[in-house]
This record gives sequence, C-alpha cells and structure tokens, in this order.
Amino acid sequence: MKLTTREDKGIVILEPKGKIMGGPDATLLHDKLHEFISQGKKKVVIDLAKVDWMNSTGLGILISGLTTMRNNGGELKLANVTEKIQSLLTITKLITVFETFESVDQAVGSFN
Amino acid sequence: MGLLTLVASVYLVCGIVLFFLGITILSEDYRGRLNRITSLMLFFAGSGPIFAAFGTILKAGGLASTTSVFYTNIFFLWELFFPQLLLFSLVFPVENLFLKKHLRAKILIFTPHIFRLLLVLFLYQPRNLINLSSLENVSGLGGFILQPVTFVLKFLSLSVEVIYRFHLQFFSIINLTYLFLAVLFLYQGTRKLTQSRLKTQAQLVTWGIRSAAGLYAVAFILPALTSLKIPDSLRYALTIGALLIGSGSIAWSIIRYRFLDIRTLVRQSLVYSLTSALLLGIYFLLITQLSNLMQTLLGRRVPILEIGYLILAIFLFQPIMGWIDELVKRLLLKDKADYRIMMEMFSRKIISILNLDELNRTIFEALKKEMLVEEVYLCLCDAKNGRFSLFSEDKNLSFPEDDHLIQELRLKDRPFFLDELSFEKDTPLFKTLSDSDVFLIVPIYSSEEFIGFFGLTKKITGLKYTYEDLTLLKVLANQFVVAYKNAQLYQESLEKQKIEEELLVAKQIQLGLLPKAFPKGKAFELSAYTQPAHQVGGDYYDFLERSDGSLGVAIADASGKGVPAALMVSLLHASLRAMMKNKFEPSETISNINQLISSSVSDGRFATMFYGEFNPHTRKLSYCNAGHNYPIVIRKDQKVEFLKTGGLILGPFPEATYQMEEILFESEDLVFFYSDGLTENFNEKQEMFGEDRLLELLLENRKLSCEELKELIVGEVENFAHGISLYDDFTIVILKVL
Repeated sequence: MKLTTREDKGIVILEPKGKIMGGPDATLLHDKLHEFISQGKKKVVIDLAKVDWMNSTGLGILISGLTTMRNNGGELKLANVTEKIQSLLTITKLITVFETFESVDQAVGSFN
Repeated sequence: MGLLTLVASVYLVCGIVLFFLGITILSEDYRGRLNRITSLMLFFAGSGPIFAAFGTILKAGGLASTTSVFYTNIFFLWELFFPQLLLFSLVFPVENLFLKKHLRAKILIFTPHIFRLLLVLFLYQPRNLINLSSLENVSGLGGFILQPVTFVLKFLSLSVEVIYRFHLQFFSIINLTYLFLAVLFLYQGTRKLTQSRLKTQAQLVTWGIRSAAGLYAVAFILPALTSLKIPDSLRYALTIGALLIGSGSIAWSIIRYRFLDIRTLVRQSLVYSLTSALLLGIYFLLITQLSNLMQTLLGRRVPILEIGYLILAIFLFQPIMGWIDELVKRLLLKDKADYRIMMEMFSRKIISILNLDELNRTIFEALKKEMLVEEVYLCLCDAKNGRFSLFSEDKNLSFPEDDHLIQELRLKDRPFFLDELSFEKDTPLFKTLSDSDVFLIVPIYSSEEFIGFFGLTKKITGLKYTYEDLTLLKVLANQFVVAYKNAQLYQESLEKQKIEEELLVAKQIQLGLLPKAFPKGKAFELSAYTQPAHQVGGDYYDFLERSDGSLGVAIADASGKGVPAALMVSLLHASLRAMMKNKFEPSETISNINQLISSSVSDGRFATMFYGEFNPHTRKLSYCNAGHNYPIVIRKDQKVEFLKTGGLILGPFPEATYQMEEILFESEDLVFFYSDGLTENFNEKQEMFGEDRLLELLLENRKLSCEELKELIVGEVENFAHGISLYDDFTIVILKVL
C-alpha cells in the first residue's frame, strides 16, 4: 500500500493505493492518523478509489483508524468505495459503522 | 689455561650477560621509568661479577698485593645493586604511591651505600686527609677555638675507622635488610595484582629475589655472624649465583612481559650469543678439568683424549644449543611470530563457537591475555532492532540511541585513537568511553556495514599500540565478525526451530478444539473441512448438541492469520462453549461473545462468526450472523438463499446489537457454510475462485451426500489453485436436511 495525503478545506484526505493488507500498512496509517490528531486535524476522509483489494487485516486497519479518530473526538469517512470493498463492508455489517460516500467531494462536504 | 683464568672468564660472562640485559631493557625504551631502574640495577649487578673477574685475574697474576686499596675497594660499587633493587621493588609491578609523591625518598635509599663507597674509596684512612696533630699544636686563642673542632674531627675520624673496620659485616646486614624490604614490597605489590599474567611474572621476580637473598645470606651473613670460615672463591661464586638468579628473574620477567611487541631479532641473537658464550665457557672449564683429571690419573698428557673431548663437546654442543635456541624463542621472546600464533589460535577457537556470549568471552580473553589490554569494551548493533549496546566482560554501559558519535564512527574504516577525534567530543558516548579510559577504537564491519566497535584501554604494560597491533586488531575484528554472524545465524535458526516446535504443539491444541465426532441425527447430515494456510489458523467451526435436542453449528474466522488469529480462535471456542450452559437465543449468544471478545482484543482485531441452532424436530434453524460470509442455502428446488441476518463483526464494537432469524427447512435442503479463504483462492492467472463458481458447483452437485460434496469442493479448490499454496485458511461446513 502506498499512502498519499492532501488537505481540502481543513479536511485531511488520505489516498491509499494498492492492497491494504496489514503488517507495515497498519502502522503506516496508524502513525499518520496520530500525526494529524496531534496537529488538531480530526476530520479525515479515506479515498478508497485506488484500493483494489483488502483482506481482513486491512479491514481491521480501517476499523482501528475509525476508533482512533472517534476516541479523539474526530471522524473518519470513506469515499469512492469500490464494489468489492462495498460488499465486504456489507457482509461484515461495517457499512452501519462507516459513513461512505460516492466521491471525495461528497465526503468533504458532509463534514459541514 | 689456569683454573683461575677460567673462573674469571665465567665471572666475566655472568657480568656481561647482566650488563647486556640492562642495555637491552634500556634500549627498548630509555624513557620508561621501570626500564631505567631495572637496567641500572642490572648494571650494578653486572659490575659485581666483572670486578670479581678482574680481582681473580689480578690474583692469578700475583698482582693483588701490589694494587692499591682504591682498586680493590671499587669492587664495592656493585653493592649499589641493593638500593637499586629496593627502588625496583617500589615501582614494580605497580609504582608505590609514597615514592611517586616524595621523589627525594629515593636519595635516602641510596645514602648508606654512597657513604660507604666514599668511605672505602677515599676515607678509609681519615688521618691521611687531615693532619689532626697539626691542629692540636695550635695554641692560644686559635687553639681554644679549634679545640672543639679538633675534638669533633677526632671523634669523626675514630668512628669512620670503626665503621671501616666493620663495614663488611655492617653492610651485609644493611644489604640483607634491603633485600628483605624489597621482597616485602614485591610481595605486597603482587598481592594487589589481579591480572594473572602479571601476577605470575611478579611472583617469579619475588621468587628470584628470595633465592638470591638466601644465597647472599649464606655467603656473607653466615660467616659474619658465626665463626664459620668460607673460602673467598665459594663466597664469590655464591654471590654471583645470587646476582644471576635475582637479576636474571627480574630481567626475564621484564623482557617477557614488556617486550611482546617490538623487534626481537636483535634481542634474540643477543641472548642467543650470550648463552652460547656461557655454554662455551662451561665446556672449556669441563674439558680442562677433565684433562687435568686424566693427566693426574694417567700421569701424562694424552693428546688423543683432548681431541676426543673436543669431538664430544661439538657433539653435545649442537643439540644443547639447539635446545637453548628453542627455549629462548619459546619462553623468553615473543614477537611477530606471536601475532601469527595468536591469529591462528583465535580463528581456530572462534570458528566452532556458536554461542554469542561465549564468543564475546573469547575475544575479551584474547585481547586481555594475549595483547595485554587492561580492559576491553565491545559495542554491537542488535540486528533485530538496530540498537547499539556497549558492554565489557562484567558490566553494561548505556548511551542514547541517537548518539552522534556512532554516526561519526561509521565513517572510520580503520582503528583510531579516541583523542584523534576532532569533533563529537561532547556526546554522552564519548564521555562514557573516555570515563572508562577507552583509548583505541577498532571499528567492526560486516560486508561494508558498520556493526559496532571494540574500545580498548591502554595496555597493562603501558606500552603504546604499535603498527603491528593495529593490523592485528583489524584482522581480529574481521575474524570476529565472521564468527559473530555465524553465531547469530545459528541462534536464529535455533529460535526458529523452537518456534516451529511450539507451533507444532499449538497446531495439536488447535486440532483438539475441533469437534472430534460429528453429531448424528435422523433429520440431518453433516460434513466439515478446515485447512490452515500456516501451522495454525484463524478459522474455526464447531458442532454442539443442545439439551433440547437441537444442533448448534458455528463457523468463525478471526482476522489475520497465524498465531494471533489462532489465539482469537481459542477465545471464540471457549466463549461459545461457556455460553452453552445457558439457554440463550443465538443472537444473545453472539452478543455475549462480542462483549467477551471486545474486552480482550484491540488494534482493530476482530472475528466474523455465524452461530445457528437447528432443531431436527421442527426443522427450524434460528441463527445470528456476526459479519461472516453469508452461508448459502440451496433449496430442493434450486432456489438460493443467503443467511444474512445478525450484526457487526465481533470485537471492535462492544455496544453492537444483534438480530436473529428463523428459517424453516425442508427435506433435501442444504446449507453451505464457509470462510472467505475458500472463495478468495487464487489461481496462476491471479483469478479468484469466487462466489459464482462456488454457487454453480453447489447447484450442480446438490444431490451428493454431505461428505461427497465436501470432497468435491475441496478437490475443485485444489485443482483451481493448482499447487499455489493457500493464501488464507479455508473452512467448509455442510448441513443437509434429510
């Protein structure tokens, strides 16, 4: 997984690319989120457009990202959820926990 | 050749040996205090036999009576040996603190002997120097003033005369006292030593001095204190023996422990030629004695015998010289050959050491014992976490992880002295090293990668590190790295092996968690299959017979793989089994398990789980699906349904709520439970097995028995993957309603 970050209207947008598989990916995302929290940036959108595959550990990374943000009074939303990930979220019922949006703009807009 | 001349030659050789030892030690490093003291002592010791030799020659020439007292008494110069010995005992092996502070004490040590020398050389007849009677004759006021002076002078001259008369006896006692004190100081110094090699050497010196003192006592004190008369020649022989033993032991130990690392060739040939000369003297002496003996026995000279002696001498001479040569090389002198020996010894030793601690011990020992380094520190980078640790044989030192000195050291590729560093002198590591008296740094490289360094303090001998030392240290560091890497690999493989063994046990335990026998009923049929991708896995299935006759079916998949997932499986197993004591609905069971799991896991770990209870009488299945892959229901009429109802995955959300659903089955209906490892199997073309393929297979083969269907699916998956190893654990459970 490669991770690029950008900001839009004070909202952090994370753009992972490739497969989210766990191992180093987990610490990478975890550290990034903590970095933003310490900077007071607590609104995060993860753009999943370029994530083509996610295993259970990858899902775990998203979950711990979500709980990290929420425990620190922040929020994490998902955008551009691909069909595969959508079905994964559906099966695991995580769709009820994550707020998902069709586009990054919608996700960013939802914070207002 | 007269006997006396021979004796004189032997004396001379002894004296020259001692003299040359002195010169050798002095030339090694004339600025070294211990060297200066030792060589001066050897000069004094050597002067004894040399004077004795001259005395003997004079006596042989019948000139003794005609020589002046000055020339006879210059002989006593050699006795300066005793104060010099005392001085030596105060600086060897460790310099006496008192002497270090009060340098004048040194003069005090020499005062009696210098006074005595002046006495025997110039003042032995004080009356010759000052005509006292002329003073006595001065009258009047001058006489009155001079009277006390005359009196004092008279007293002085009288006491000098008395001392002169008894100076032999008197100084025998003084010399013996000096000897005694020297032995005492040496003994004390030796006791404080901890370095075993130095200790042995100091003990050798003490032993030598003691023996010398014994011989000297027999030669001088015994005759002085008793009426025993000892012939002069024996007394000289004893004295020279004492000198040789005493000085020899000192010279030996000084050479042996100080001369480890300088050019030896010169010394070797010197000692070699001196011993040859000594041996030659002994041979001649023996031959002359034998000739004389034969002459007396036979009454005349037999030239043929002398030739025989000569041949015998040559015959014996060669092997004995060879033997001495060996001995000299082996015992007395160690040099470049030593480095080769040490390297060879070291590589032979470490090649077989696979224990890291033992390896460190060996290198510490080699550097301390063979190179005589006072203390050795080793700094090594832990391959696992990249952190450096600094330690010596008996203590660990710490320094901050990001110390700049380490970065600086990375740039050095050869041994260097700590004080050569121009910067990074204020880092904690630098301070730790200099506080520990570390002097020389030898970087350790493993194929271009800096992995640490040796920190060496000064040598025990106080000598400098030579160019050869630095080369040797570099070679040793390289040898050490090879052994270190080997040991590390071995250790890792051991650890791996241990983990493998533990995993094998874990696997057995996990297999034990699976139901051993499948419940049997008239209304249903069961089959199950599970295969972990690794030794242990995160998949789990279970069958439980409830008290109301219904059948509990569980399938779960812990996130991740391997040991962490397997631990979660144990937790799921235990939680589910614990729930069975109560009459909970499946949704309650799942909800309770979720709360149990939540309190024990963190970091986004979770499990998906399906739990249902099938009542064979009513053919009703009530179930709750906590985020697990939807189990597939294939109805008799090929209709497909999915068991979706339930709630969130187990673990991250303790407050999650769960729904339950009841569905009614008819005969020949089939429920296929599985974990995502089945559908997410990949083939060579990176295609996924997928749900569609599974559905197709199920529909086509729905009429097979549970067992047959299971075999078929497993076979299909294996065919599909075609030798590609499992990426994830996969599990199948099939329930068929009869």
